[in-house]
Amino acid sequence: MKELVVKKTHSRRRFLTGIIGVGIAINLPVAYSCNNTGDDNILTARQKEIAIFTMNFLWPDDKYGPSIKETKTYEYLIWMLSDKNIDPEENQYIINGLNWVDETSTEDYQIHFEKLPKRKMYKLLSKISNLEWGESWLSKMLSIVLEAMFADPVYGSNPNGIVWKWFDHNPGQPRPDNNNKYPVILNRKKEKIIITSMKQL
Amino acid sequence: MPKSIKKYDICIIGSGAGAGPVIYELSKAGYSVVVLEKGPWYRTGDFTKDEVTAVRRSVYTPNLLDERHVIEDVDSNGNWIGRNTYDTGNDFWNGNCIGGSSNFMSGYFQRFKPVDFRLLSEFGEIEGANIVDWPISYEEMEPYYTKVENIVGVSGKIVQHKHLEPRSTPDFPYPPLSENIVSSWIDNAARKLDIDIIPMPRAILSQPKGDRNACVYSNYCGSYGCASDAKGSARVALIHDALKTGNCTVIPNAKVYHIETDGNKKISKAWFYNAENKKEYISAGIFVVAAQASETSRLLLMSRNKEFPNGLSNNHGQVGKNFIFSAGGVGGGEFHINDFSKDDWQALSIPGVFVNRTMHEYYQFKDPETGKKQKGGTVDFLFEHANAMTKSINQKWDDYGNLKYGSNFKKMLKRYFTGVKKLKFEVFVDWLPTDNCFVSLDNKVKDKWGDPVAKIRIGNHPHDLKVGKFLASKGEKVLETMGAKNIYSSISGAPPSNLQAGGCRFGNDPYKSVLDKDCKSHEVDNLYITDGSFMPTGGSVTYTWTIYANSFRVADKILSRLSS
Repeated sequence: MKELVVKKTHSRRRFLTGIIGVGIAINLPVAYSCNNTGDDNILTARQKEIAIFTMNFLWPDDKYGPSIKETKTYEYLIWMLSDKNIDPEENQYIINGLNWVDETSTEDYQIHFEKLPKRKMYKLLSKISNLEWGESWLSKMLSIVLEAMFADPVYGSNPNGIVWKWFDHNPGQPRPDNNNKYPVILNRKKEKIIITSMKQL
Repeated sequence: MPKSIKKYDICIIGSGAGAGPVIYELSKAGYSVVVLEKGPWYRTGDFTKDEVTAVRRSVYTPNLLDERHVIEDVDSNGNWIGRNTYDTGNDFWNGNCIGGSSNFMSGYFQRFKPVDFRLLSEFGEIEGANIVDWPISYEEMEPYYTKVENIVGVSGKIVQHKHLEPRSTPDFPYPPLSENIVSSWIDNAARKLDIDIIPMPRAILSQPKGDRNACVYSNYCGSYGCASDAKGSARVALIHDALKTGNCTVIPNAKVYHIETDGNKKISKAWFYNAENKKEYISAGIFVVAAQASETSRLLLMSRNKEFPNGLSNNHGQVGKNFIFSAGGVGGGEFHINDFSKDDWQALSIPGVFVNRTMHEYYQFKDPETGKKQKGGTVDFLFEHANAMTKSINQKWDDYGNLKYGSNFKKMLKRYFTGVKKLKFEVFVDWLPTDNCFVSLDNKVKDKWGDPVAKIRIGNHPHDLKVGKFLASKGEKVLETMGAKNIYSSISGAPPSNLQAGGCRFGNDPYKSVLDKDCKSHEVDNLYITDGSFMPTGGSVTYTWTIYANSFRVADKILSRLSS
């Protein structure tokens, strides 16, 4: 099959370009300028607010199909960001983007993003979607939204398969459980075993 | 201190399609066999239809932070530029686990045809291409193709057509898998166009075989491990039976990094890193390397010593040369719900059942420009993969490369999932071997153990694109005849990383090949190579059946040698 593995569809080059475009943001610590911590200890309260707003910008709660909140997409994002098996640069890129959004807000409006009226929040995200770094980062965020939407409920999003049902999508059997889901399955890569019999399997 | 383990009759490096038949045959014959596989052992129960595991994360492949490739391609100025796959995100790994990438294949199984064994004699030279005839004929391979049908298990139905390869049996041992209604529509189009489109054989059981179940039509086949053991991976079809003999030892998570010779041009040890990254070695009488083509060349090039200063079996500079892929590309078209009756749409939307059709009309054809006989290829038809994440992510860009999002994107995606079925096709033509497609070692980028990674130059011959485009136009014609919409095709020189071969071609001349006709090294008496590396040219179908068949053939040669 010629398109056997279609993974990691983003290009690292593409988001590195984004980093260069914003310049100073690469040097900012994860906590950025806000000392408040979010309820997940992965993002600050400000980053959390920007993340949730951005996901709703990409996938609006317009009463047409399951929403970001119903599908627990933010929770999936946090699970991804806390995954030590994912390239730290990839996760840092997501967090950097949240910071860049706020930086753009303070540059354009002299106030932090979460203080903006919703109309201006939309305007700001629309504006960055036309910038190279902005489109690249929003594309990454949209991929995460779609990944969360269609993930098996064993990962915490898509509860009861509501997204599958809405899209009339057949997920295939067998589905993963807590014993063979990611990243539990990665433990196989650490097994020091010598197999001489089928009984060992 | 490195730890040594007992001496075996035969040590096999790798456990995929090239390794499986040797493991199976030698174990069954009573020889002590040890298998060193760099990846883990995933059991059948580990294989679920989970897109996060199978596609979105590096589970069946190495993490690119730890292990990567360098891919050399031509830039806009015509210079060769190497980029490492960690930076590009263009993952070049396939299945790294017991059974290798055969666990994740789609199992499209087609034999090479007699002309593929004598490409030079049949079609003549092409400037800039290193085309040669194989040192064996189709007739010598035929019994082993048949053996694979029976032991690995191939389902399908033989129909007579002008390019049907000679067979020693009338039909496949397993009947065809269940098909979608679209297969009959393709057949109708073929009749209208008066061309040969035939049922596609699959290495998937349509009926139970021993401990293996028949296909359960899960709707997730390619890229996914099989949960019913119906797919003919080397793991379930061959290695399970080898273990039952009591003669086979398998060591997963064992990454071989050096093959040591004894001063008399014979291999004495294979050194590997174990699961704890500690060095160990295996001693054996005969060594078989089948690590998938690019890694096989890399391992030989890494195994330098006084006897082989340029790498094992490389005193004539042939290792890594004439690397090939499957050339061609993809295409497709859409069927829209409003154009069909309710019953037909429901039938079209049944998940899991297969399309299984392949066009063989143009395996050879007359060049419309020159009137000369040309080697062509095949066009396989299939539905878009059911992977929902990938399917939706592929929809996020518009025709002008702008990101789609918001309410309109949601509506479009809903329409796409519920009102569109995409029928695709894949074009397979020869990737002509050239001086610009080869494997070497990168002198800067290392893997997590500090060893140089494989650098793969991926230059293709313009002839491949010409033939590919011809075939793609024929694929489009079929979709057009079926009434599909938004028909497209894309033929490019970008190689599919999962369809790789060559690098250690077999031949009669030790100065122009690495292996003899039995796939034994010209230079090292106890070294055999049984993955796709041996192929001097690659035919116009997927490689796996031929790799399996050749490995069974070489297993017979090794058995003859051991018994004498």
